[in-house]
Amino acid sequence: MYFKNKKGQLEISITMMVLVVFIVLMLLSLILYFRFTYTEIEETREDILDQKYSSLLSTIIGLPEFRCSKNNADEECLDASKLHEFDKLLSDKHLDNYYRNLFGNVNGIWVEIIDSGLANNTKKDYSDAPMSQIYGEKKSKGLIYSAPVSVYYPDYKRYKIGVLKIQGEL
Amino acid sequence: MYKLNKRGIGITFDWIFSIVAGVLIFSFLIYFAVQNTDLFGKVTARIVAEELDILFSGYETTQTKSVLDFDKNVKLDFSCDKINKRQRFMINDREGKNLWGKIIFSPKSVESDKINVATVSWDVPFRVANFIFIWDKEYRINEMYETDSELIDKFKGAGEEIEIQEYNEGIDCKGAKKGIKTIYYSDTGEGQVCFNGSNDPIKFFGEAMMVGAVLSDKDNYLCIKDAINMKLEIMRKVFENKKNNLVGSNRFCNEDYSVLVNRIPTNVDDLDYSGFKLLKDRNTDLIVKGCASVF
Repeated sequence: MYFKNKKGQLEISITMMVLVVFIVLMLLSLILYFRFTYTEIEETREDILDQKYSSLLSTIIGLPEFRCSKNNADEECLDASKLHEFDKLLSDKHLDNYYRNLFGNVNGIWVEIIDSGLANNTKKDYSDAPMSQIYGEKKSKGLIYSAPVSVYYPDYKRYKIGVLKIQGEL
Repeated sequence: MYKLNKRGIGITFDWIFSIVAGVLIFSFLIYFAVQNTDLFGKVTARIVAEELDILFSGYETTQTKSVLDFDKNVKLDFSCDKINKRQRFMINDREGKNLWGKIIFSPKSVESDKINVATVSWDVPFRVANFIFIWDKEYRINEMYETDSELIDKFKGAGEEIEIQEYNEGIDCKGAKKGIKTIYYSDTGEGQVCFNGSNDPIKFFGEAMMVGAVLSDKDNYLCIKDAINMKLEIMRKVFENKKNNLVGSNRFCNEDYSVLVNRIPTNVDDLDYSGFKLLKDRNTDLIVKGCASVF
């Protein structure tokens, strides 16, 4: 039997080999396709997060929760008396949930005051605080997005320079 | 050897040629597939949803009127989750996104290549939020009563029948025409809306909420009103925190701060013109006394 069908057997083997190679190539192509797609989606995700964190900076500056106003007119600054201990408000579960969803997956948001006026580490009131934590906390990992802001102290009618910082992971 | 196995070499070359040609053809196929397909359009819808969310975040803090030109027909469906007090939108029935912290008034479904967006600040008298309004280019209403609202003027034309009448205290929905959304509005900002077939008036305050009542249906409006109440509550807490932080420019300030902050309402239903004016006047009084203003 074997000797009689040698040619037929060879052709079957060749067809099988062609099929195996075709399937291998097909699988490799699929793996390659999904790798390309995954890399592209990852890049898009990073771009969107980058845009999101950058726009979050301007959103925070404009939110009535933080923005300063004088006699009901909004001004281009952040109100230090609203910022100070704002994170303590988030001990309320509903508020924490609200801001967690609003700020997305950022690690922390805070305002650092340049020249806080803190002398001998004796903290008197909100005007001496070197920074105000708004949300979360600074972690070792993550990119920091920042924007300079003017911080207003309504009691003292004084302005200081501050830096609004967001730490987020891409 | 070579001379003897010429046919064998021929078969080997066939194989090498097939593999090289196969790899090249598949590579081109993958390249074009990656360039031109996006997992059944889901990725594009997702990207558009994320970018719209970023855009809406920007609108939260600026007052603007603009047209989003998508170049092709886009369908945006808006819904509101009453339990979590948050809105959600879907793009072309494919991808959705939750809208946290944003207050958007629109018809349930907006479908067009050009979508209008406008924002109006809601002040009571301090700013609570910017309301975002979304409508398509075909959206029109038949409106009876002249309001000062620029946005309402944009909707005027032959379309959905909505009646806007002057608001007076004590008005209920009995006077509203059957099957027609009736909005009662006064220049003082007070108003209420009677949705089609409903006998329960829904109270609102301010021009921004009145325009919202024009665009929304009853379920969405009630749900968004809850979200507004939540934001109002947050603002009260922000002002309480501010009051605790203010050291008082002079000794008369602290008590005045408390009186003012305690008067800040946490529900839209508690807002009226006299309360609005009182808050405004108390805040001005603080400045006159040399204290820092609360808002």
